[in-house]
Amino acid sequence: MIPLADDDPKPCVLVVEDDDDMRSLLVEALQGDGHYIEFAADGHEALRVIEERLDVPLLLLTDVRMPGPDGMEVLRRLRLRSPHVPVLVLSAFVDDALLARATELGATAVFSKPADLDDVRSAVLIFASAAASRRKTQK
Amino acid sequence: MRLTVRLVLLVTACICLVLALHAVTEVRRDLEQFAADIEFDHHAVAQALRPLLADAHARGGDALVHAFVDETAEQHTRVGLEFHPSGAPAIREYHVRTDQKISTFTPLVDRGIPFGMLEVYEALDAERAYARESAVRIFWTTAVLVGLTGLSSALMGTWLVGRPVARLVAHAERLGRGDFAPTRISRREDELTQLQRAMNTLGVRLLETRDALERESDARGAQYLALQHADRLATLGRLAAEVAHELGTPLTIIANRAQFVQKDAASNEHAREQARSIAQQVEKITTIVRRTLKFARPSAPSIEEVQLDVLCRQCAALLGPLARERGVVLVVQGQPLLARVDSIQIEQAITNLVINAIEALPREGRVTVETSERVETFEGASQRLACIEVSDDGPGVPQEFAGRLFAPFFTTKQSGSGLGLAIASQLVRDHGGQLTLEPSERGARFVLRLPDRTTPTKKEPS
Repeated sequence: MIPLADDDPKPCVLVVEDDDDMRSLLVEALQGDGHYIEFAADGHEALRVIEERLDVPLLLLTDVRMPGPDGMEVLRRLRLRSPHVPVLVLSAFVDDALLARATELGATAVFSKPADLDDVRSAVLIFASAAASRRKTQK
Repeated sequence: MRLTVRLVLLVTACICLVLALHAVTEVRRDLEQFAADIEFDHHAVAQALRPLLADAHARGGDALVHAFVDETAEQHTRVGLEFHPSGAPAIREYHVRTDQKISTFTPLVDRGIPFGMLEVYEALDAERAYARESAVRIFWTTAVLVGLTGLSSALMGTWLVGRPVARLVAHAERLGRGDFAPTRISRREDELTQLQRAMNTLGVRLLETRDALERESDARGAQYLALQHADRLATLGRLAAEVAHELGTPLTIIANRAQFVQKDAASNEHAREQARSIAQQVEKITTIVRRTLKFARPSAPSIEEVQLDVLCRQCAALLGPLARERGVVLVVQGQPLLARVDSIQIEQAITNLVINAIEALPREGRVTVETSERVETFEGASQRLACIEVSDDGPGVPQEFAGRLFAPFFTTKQSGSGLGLAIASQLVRDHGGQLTLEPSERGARFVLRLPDRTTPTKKEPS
């Protein structure tokens, strides 16, 4: 079960991925890089995290095809709350239509599986820290 | 043959009828004439005897007349004579005909007083014999005539009608079986030879039609096979892409887990080596999958400013080995040419044209790619066009193929897919341009025209 910590003010990186092994790999790797991670196994869980938390996630790393609302829908709903959160899309089905939709919704980067995990980790590191410093300045 | 038999029977029956009628009338007339002759003879005999008998009656009465008549009758073998003393004799001479004989009765007068009748008669045996003989003669004449006529008309009928008709029937049956070879036409000129000639023409027409149908059906079959093939390829492509997609996630996991193991097992050389091997092999698979995905993914045209002459040179370099292998000299010439196109797609079009030209050359030859800038009327307006000409000095495109050249699956090569020119043409059309086959002194000349879609901010070489 996802620890929904409404009272926890610590900004998180939200990982949305329906494949258990892939998700645990991402979580493990990103935690190793020092990020505070929350994760969801499908669209519904992801939307709960996004819409019920007081604070929006620092960064969203999402798969596209999964049960419930897909990654693009999660992205759209996140944009309703915040236009600035960096979003990394990770999908095995990258085509022109997906790229166009992701760009339209303001995705930061799109990775195609099989992806080089190091690239993903670097991107998360760069964009999450940029977002964190922006929040600090706002506060 | 039945027709001939019927004709022969009809003709002979007519001949029989005419001959029989003619014979009957002829015999009748003869018999009539015969009887008239007899009667005239009787009259002559009676007139000669009358004065003598009158004299005999004057001298010796009826008895002397009888004696005289009998004596005279004995001298005549053919006619018979008889005296009929009578009370009421006729005043005039008259004739009596029966089946047996013809008689002439003449009144006898002695000094103004009639004293009897003289009968001169003749039996009709001779006449009947003549009639019988005539009938027999007529019968034989008719029989011989009918026989000869029947035989000759049967022969002529067989020769003139029967055999040609049998040949026509055989020809018609051959046509029915699908054998359209013509029959030799006899030198005789009649309705049947006209019919034979018409049937030969019919055969030729049928043959042409059948050949045309066969060609069409062959072409359709080939087209169907090509479509099936293309469909299978497309399905295979989709399957490959699907498989590659599904492999994406597991490959990422394996590769990175292997890396984790490598780090965690720092103290265990063996385990680290195993993990490194896993990571290496997964990397290979990942490369293959990435390549497959890149191939399967339809890329949107990305328009950029491209140096077309450089693009042509790149194509030539790429196809150099193929050209050399076939003894073909590949030449790129012309002015520097700038255009806004999708370089990958236009390169594909040029490559297809050059491959087509190289393969069109039977053995050795020259393929020229020339770039030029022209101002021509295009789509109703005079405008600047970037043109690429691909020409060869081969046999050229036969006139009958010119119309179908850019149709998908049209090919004259044994191993061609028939898609090369179709794809090239489609790619050029996607750019708003046009690919055409143009007249040439030697070989084939394809001209690729691209309209200038450059935005006003045209880069000038500095």
